[in-house]
Amino acid sequence: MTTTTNVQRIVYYALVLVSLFLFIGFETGFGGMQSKRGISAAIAIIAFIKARYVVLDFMELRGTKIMRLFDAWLLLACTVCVLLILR
Amino acid sequence: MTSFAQNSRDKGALNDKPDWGMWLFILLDMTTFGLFFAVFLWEMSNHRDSFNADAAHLMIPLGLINTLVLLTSSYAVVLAVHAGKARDTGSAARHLRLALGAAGLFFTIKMTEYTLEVRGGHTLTSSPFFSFYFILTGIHLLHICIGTILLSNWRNDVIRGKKVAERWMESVAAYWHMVDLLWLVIYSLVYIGSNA
Repeated sequence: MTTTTNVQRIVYYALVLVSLFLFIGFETGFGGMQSKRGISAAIAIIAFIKARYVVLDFMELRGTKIMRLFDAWLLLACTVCVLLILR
Repeated sequence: MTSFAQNSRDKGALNDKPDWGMWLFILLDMTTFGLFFAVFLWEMSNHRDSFNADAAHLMIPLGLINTLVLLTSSYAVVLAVHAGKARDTGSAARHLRLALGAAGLFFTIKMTEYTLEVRGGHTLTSSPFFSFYFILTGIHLLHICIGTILLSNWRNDVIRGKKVAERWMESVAAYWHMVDLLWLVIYSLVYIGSNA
């Protein structure tokens, strides 16, 4: 259990840091990147990666059969969102 | 508490098989939000300039604070589940109190944000973007309220010394994590992505 909670703590800190970096990136205009659609698509991909870690480590589905179902859902949702953003 | 929920709580720990009903319910709920996201992004791609202009009125720092608040609440629930499984009622109650406090803070910040938006002339009917904003975040806030009731029931049982089944704890926790997960996507797509 200790190892599990350590992993979950790391995931929690990582999710907080990524959220903060994303905010800083937004406030600084993402380093002057021109492609708004590209930025929006990248932000969506990062959001779904964060969501996956919530599923794996907070919902504790890592290594279970249900994990595949959630992985498929997240992949499908992320793909649809990115395609709609880039449309 | 309904007899069904009570029954689930009493029987839960006896069965190690995955609770497919609960997980499918969560996936179905997420799919409802997924369809909202798709319609929102479809409309955004059709009216990119007006969506960008409206999104510029959102209070991004409040969205960020709510993201951090909800992540903290979710992590507190993770710890509460571990404490509950270890029969450490003191730790479980403490972490659930933290999770509930964070839920209350999220609700307060969201209501503050709504108040400021409405005062700024942005309402449910003022523009397509704000219609999506109020509906998406409003339905999410409803989920926060339902999750808060479930967490409160769990904490009350812990405080009263009732035995709480592992499956019940895990079901409530999974629901709360889903609420957290959905917010991560809403914040990224609506607050940051529309505004990038």
